[in-house]
Amino acid sequence: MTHQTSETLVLVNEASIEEWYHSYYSLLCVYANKFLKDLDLSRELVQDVFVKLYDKKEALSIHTSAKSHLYQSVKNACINTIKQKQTHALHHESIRYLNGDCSYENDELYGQSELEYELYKAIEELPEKCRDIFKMNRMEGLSNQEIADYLNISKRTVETQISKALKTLRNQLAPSLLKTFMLLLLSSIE
Amino acid sequence: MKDRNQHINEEVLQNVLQGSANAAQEKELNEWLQASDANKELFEKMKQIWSASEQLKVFSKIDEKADWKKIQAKRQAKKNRLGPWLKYAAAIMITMGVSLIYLHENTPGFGKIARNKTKQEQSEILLADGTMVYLNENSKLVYPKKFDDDKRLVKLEGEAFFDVKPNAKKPFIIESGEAIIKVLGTSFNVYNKADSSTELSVKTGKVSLKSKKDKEQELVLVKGDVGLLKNHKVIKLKSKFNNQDSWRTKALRFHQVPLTQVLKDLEKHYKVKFDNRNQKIKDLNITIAFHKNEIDLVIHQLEILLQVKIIKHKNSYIIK
Repeated sequence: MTHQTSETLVLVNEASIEEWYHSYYSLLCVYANKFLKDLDLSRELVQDVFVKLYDKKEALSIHTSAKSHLYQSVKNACINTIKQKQTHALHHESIRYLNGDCSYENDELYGQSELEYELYKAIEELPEKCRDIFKMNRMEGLSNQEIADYLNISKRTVETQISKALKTLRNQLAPSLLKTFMLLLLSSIE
Repeated sequence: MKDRNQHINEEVLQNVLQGSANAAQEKELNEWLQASDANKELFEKMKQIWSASEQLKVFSKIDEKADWKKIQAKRQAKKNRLGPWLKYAAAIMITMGVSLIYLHENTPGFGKIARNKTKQEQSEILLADGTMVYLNENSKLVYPKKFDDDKRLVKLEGEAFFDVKPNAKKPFIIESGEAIIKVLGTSFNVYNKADSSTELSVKTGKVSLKSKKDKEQELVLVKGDVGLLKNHKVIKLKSKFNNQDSWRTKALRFHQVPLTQVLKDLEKHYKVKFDNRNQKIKDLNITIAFHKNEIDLVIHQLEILLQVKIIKHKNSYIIK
């Protein structure tokens, strides 16, 4: 149950599987959901991938890193699910994308999922008032005025809190997460 | 140098992102963007955060705790091949979780100041403001039963993990050894070592570390940082928050950590010594984790992982 991956040795035991669960589960569910467009189905799929990790046979096949292995397993499981549901005609693009031979480092949708996950965690760590206001605006879709009315505060306060959130978030997110997308988006500046 | 264009009004940025900017604000933004590449990059970052944040609702729909239980139940079902048992397993596990909450105790005491001292055991203290303090063995916490209006002050000897309730109006201050530690709301580990130095590792939030003797020396630490007060000086260590509170969580996690650091953490947690005599493995990085495991199991797994023999000699483990 141990493997050499360049200079890192990876031991698969109950405790490490639990660690990987906490690090990657939500992220992998969101990634799978981008193809399956069904969150509950995605969750079941990623759960099954983790259940398989406990098998000795599965553990022996980790040649790269746990993250890489989980990423590949989820991709394969997605392909199988789409094929099984016989909706592969509708999901032609997804199958093509998933069959592509890239690692998680080159996978744009995976990178996007990672950014979303880090952002989600960072938002949860904002001060309470700031966080609630930011979530109401971005996730619930309320306007600044609607938020102000709901919380019985001024619109100015709402705007200040959102600015504060953006400032904190942009300082907190690792530059490496955003670099892949720099090239795509730079073209949209006039 | 047009200093004006190095900074932009946060309000303007926000209005542009929300699509509610007027012509003057759009102009201001464009001028600021033209001023430097750094500004362009910053704006791109903001746009990404802005658009990505719309997609985040899906994360709140994922119940990590419940799904972990489902995984364990599926494992069990595979072993037993008893499908119907699944729903009973879930019900039993939830009941166990709820009953544990009621086992929490508070420490009664007389007078205004309370004192909690541990010897061979660990203890948990809930303070008047909701802050939780986890006290390691051979440690002592002195605290008022009711906090002052302007601050929350406690005194610590030994080692403890603090989970401080946020209160911007009342900073939480810990006097420990020579150190003065100040926080607004955060979780971190304070460790007074045998050599009179104090090590502060931050799990979440922001903490400041100062010396009583030289108040000019102040270090602000954020999530993941580890600071050390030694010989009246404060420095930030290269290491990150990882396993400093393993005495409390009973969990040790290593993700691509150099073997030397792994052995150090194990030495502290299990109160043993390692003597590595194997040159071949000393530069390896290790990924491994332990949760409530006895030292014998840890040794056995290290032997398998590193392909070495580990011999016990008194309280020392020699790696051949």
